[in-house]
Amino acid sequence: MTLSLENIMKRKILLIAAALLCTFAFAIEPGTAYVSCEKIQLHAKPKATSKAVKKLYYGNEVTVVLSKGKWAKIVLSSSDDSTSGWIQSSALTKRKIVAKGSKVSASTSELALAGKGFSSEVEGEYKKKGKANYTAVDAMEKNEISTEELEEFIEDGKLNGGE
Amino acid sequence: MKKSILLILTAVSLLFVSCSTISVASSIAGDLGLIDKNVAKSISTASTSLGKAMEEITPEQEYYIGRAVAGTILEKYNVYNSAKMQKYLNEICSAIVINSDKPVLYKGYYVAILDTDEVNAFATSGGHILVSRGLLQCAKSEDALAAVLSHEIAHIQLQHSIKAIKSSRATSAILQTAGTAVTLYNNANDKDILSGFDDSISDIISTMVESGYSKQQEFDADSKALSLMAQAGYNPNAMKSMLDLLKEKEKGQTSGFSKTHPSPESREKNLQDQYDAYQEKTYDSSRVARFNKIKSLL
Repeated sequence: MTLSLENIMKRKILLIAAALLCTFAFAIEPGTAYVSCEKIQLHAKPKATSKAVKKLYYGNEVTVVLSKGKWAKIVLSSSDDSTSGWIQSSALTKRKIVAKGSKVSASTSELALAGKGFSSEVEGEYKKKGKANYTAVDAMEKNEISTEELEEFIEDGKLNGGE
Repeated sequence: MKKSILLILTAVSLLFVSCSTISVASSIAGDLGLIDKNVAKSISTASTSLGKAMEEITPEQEYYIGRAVAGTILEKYNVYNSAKMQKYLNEICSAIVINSDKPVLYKGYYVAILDTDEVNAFATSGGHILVSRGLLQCAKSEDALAAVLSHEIAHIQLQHSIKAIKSSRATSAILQTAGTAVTLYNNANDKDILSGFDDSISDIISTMVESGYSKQQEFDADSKALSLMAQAGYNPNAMKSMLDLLKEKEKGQTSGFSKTHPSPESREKNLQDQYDAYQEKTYDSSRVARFNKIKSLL
């Protein structure tokens, strides 16, 4: 099959487009970032089953030093703790997470407000309506799988380790 | 030729820009005559507030909306009590998500079994996956269970439930509490926020339980499920065997899953050319063994 010049060009464009998508999909730029999930393990290596170094919590400030696939190497930004390790980029946001009522000077588009609305406060009010079985929700959320259990499950089933 | 380059680049940029950018892009496309001006205007207006809310929604908000949605479904169904089976499903789920592009949500991904013979499944933006015993009984392998869970994980990662929020009270409450408008709305009325929250849950539940997601969203979830399975090391072909079994199980049914999902036949048709993209895989013997050991618990 011979390819016309136009087809070759089209293929090239598609390849460039695909490469662009891969680059932009997971990477987080180096610099300051904040933990955007309730809690997360910092790992020794960019692999979900690698040794857990430290637990990080919602709003913790970190410095991203480099990105590798869906992983980011970070250093803690605290003055008394400069632990470093790997964390999944999807657990980080560039928007500063601030506590409700705090006075901040950053531009509003760079902020995420913790604990205001659609949070445990609103949930408390919503519970009073009696429309949702929160006891059952809390029970299902207790079913966490430990890193060790997951590692064994993956190895035994010849699955991939989340690198 | 120039036109095709322009179209491809437009398509690519639309894939990873926000909805609010889509509204600008659509009006520009309208001005350039690439799409009809009236169409451009309607895309632009409709996507502005809803798109902005989707763009600004925080993982924390998605989590609390998800908890209320899961709680509403768990008012209707009891949880099937089998700690072993629940752990097995949570392990499969974890293996899939850690290999996915979105391994982390605000809290995590959790699976519970609904104690009913109905064929049904729900997934919330908070990572709660609720699968009926009736649906799980259709699975004949661990890889087939992975197909069911991958489809639900895909709905979560593609934010389908959040996209079901239509009420303006809900979208404005999301915007008011997402933080971007912190200085303007720091004193947002708590009552309005609660009604916005309430509306969000109603919109999502009515879509999940009554009307179902759009056919396209279901097809997208199926396509993404194949890639989630392959990334984790499961055999994507297990989706086909699952859909074959659903065809049998759903014969003559008009409620629940049959009402909210496209037919297994049309889902198979959508996927038929997609399996080739993945390397042929066999069913690993240790997965077969552990499935056979545990399947009697359902």
